[in-house]
Amino acid sequence: MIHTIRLITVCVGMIVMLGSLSLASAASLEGLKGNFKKRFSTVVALKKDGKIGETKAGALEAVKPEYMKDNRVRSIVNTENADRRKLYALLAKQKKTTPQVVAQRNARRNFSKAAKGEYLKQGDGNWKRK
Amino acid sequence: MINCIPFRCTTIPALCTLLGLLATSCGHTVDVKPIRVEPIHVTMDVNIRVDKELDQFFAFEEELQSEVEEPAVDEAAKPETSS
Repeated sequence: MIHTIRLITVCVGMIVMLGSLSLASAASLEGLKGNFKKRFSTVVALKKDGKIGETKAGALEAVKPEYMKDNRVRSIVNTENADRRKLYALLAKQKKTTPQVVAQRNARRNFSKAAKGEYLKQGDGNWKRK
Repeated sequence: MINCIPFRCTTIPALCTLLGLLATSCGHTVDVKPIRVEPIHVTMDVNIRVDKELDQFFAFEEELQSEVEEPAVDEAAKPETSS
């Protein structure tokens, strides 16, 4: 009888833990989405200006290294990439794959969705305008 | 009768050998190697699921993109229309 109660307690505990983990994941996804939304217009503007572009690694990068001297560019690139890394890790965990796979899929998506005139970093490391 | 014995002694084994050779040459084995398609299937499945999740997550971009392209017209900036 005691064993059965212990077993039930352990099972309930595990269910509660799993539930709270998935809730935490959903909450952090929503938080990340909020961050991406806030930065979106600035990212679009900097892409239009030719200051930043998308890479095959699913990250943002300054088209020329000197553009990183600009605080606005540096801040956007760093915060966006930090949040992207978190997103890739979360989605990889959810979909039972690696963050690299998620990053590559997002890079593919970003390349196809890029507007005309935006810079895209090719596999050979050179920037090409769409 | 004397000639018949060597004939039988050589012919029967020769025929047996011939038949044996015919049997082995006619019968061929088809070695079918198992085709494994599972890894490709799994990879494609993962890619599709990841793409779907990314599309759902970044769905807000479509909305915001239209707002960025077509900024709201300021009421004060509107030209006056005389009736």
